[in-house]
Amino acid sequence: MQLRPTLLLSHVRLKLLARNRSAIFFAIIFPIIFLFIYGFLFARGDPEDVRFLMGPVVVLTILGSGFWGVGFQIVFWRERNVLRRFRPAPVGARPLLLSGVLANWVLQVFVVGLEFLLARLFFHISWPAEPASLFILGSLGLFAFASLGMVVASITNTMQETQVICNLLMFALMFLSGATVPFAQLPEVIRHVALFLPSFYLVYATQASIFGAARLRSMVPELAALVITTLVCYLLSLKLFRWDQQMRLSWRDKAWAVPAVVPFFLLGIWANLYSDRINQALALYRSVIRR
Amino acid sequence: MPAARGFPLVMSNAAVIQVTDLRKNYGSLEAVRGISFEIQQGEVFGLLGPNGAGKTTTVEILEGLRARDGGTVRVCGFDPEVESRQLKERLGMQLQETALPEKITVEEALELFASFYGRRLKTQVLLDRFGLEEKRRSHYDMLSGGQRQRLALALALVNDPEVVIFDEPTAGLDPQTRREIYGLVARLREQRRTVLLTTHYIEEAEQLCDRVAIVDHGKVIAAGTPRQLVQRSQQSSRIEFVLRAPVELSRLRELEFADEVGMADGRHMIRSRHAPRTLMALMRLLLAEDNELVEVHVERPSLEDVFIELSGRRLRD
Repeated sequence: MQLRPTLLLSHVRLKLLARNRSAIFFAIIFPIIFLFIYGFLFARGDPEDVRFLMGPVVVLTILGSGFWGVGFQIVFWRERNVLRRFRPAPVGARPLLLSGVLANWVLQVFVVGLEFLLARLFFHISWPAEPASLFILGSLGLFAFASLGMVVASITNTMQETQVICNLLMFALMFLSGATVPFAQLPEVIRHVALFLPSFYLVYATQASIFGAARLRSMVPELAALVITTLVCYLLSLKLFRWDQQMRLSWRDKAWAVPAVVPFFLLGIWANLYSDRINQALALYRSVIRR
Repeated sequence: MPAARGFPLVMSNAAVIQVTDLRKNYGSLEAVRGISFEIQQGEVFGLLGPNGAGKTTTVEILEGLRARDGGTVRVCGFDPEVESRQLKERLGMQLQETALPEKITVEEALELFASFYGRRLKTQVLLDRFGLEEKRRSHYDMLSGGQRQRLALALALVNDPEVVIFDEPTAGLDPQTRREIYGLVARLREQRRTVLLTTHYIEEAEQLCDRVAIVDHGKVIAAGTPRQLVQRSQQSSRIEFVLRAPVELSRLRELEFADEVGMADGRHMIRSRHAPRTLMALMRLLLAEDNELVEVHVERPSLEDVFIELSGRRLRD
């Protein structure tokens, strides 16, 4: 794993982030703006409603970090010839990929912690009922989104192309999963589509952890899908990694990205056929919002 | 062994870098067409040629960054394609067109890259050696072009390598920074490190390299020490001089090896394929006529002339 270079590179990446004003805005301030928009506009300051909406806030935070903080950063460095500088070193792509995930994980632990602290200070919410579950889910969610972001970075050639694909994926993951429009208000058919999206499971699972409505052991298929997605995407992004803007991928190579969506595709089929997750999510919504 | 004019390129079995009949194609384009050469321990070897000649492709194959289509390559005893990792530990590389993150400091960059290697030089040693001490806390985007290049070279030496490969180390730099880089390469030679550099600057090859291979269209068209290449050239030297009393051009035309003579603005000019013999003959003529040489300037043919002679075009065409 090349631990020392990975840790040192993670440390450097955190320092670089701290020196970059736009990165600070999008990684720290922007998610907090979301928190206050959700808290004041959607929950109207009600502590229990804000607590319920912390699930979507956390998911939006880690979703943005995974795609932009990890995936987009790789393309940015590739286009600026930064990756070329690392190429002669005897370490390969692993430290570059892992350090991006690690640095963003450290940052998001801080940001999500800050979000809960601010929510408690401004909206007087109770602390999460299952903080350890929340920590594990948030971490696995970030790893999965970051790995998906790395696959996107691997198959796109330019920053513009990456922006388009990241935005399309993010919109689907945000708007069809209950992370923005409440799941209970989505049309029936979209709820079934949501079962194919990792963000739906994360929103539900974080809300369930915050309210103590479900234990981790009842979410084994979702956790497995997150772990498998992370591993598959990490291996794919290692295989498809490109150091240089001049190195282009053929369509055949790009087809290697397809396995990235397989775990949640299979989970979606299983959940649509055998799981009661839709009703559980609706029940949790009704128990809090319409109490 | 493909025919390359001049000095033998393959010298012994103890070479640090051995390249035999190297070939690389990009689709239908033959970028490298059977290049062969050897570089000995402690030698500064230059690949000189115009843009697109195949120099960068060759060094990238040597560095293990690109797969070859034919031929054999050994660097420090390793095949770069198979033993890339072991080779990278012992090789220092400066690639063309690389950058660092804008907000990384010089010191952080050196420490970070040092962490990638088992064997490494101390950051302070590199800061001192490359004159970057004052800039150790400066962000990369605040460095000048020359400072960035010095940092790139320092990063290439961070693992205290046995062999260093510089790909166009002075391209786009101002003359002063270029001279600084020449000084750094000269110091590497003093330390008996093996250096391979690519360049399309004649003066760089002439000043820095013990031996040069001139590359064009993916082939070595001539090789040897810069002096040998120039001496073997059919190009003539230009002798320009001022006399106390002008002499007739017909007298100059009779001098040994004087191929062409002329005069403009009171200055005589002779083109000669053997400048020392022509100068001796000129001195004898002046003594016989009680004349005196006021000023003389001899311009020898350069590697550029050698390249033009062999390829029919200029290096930077």
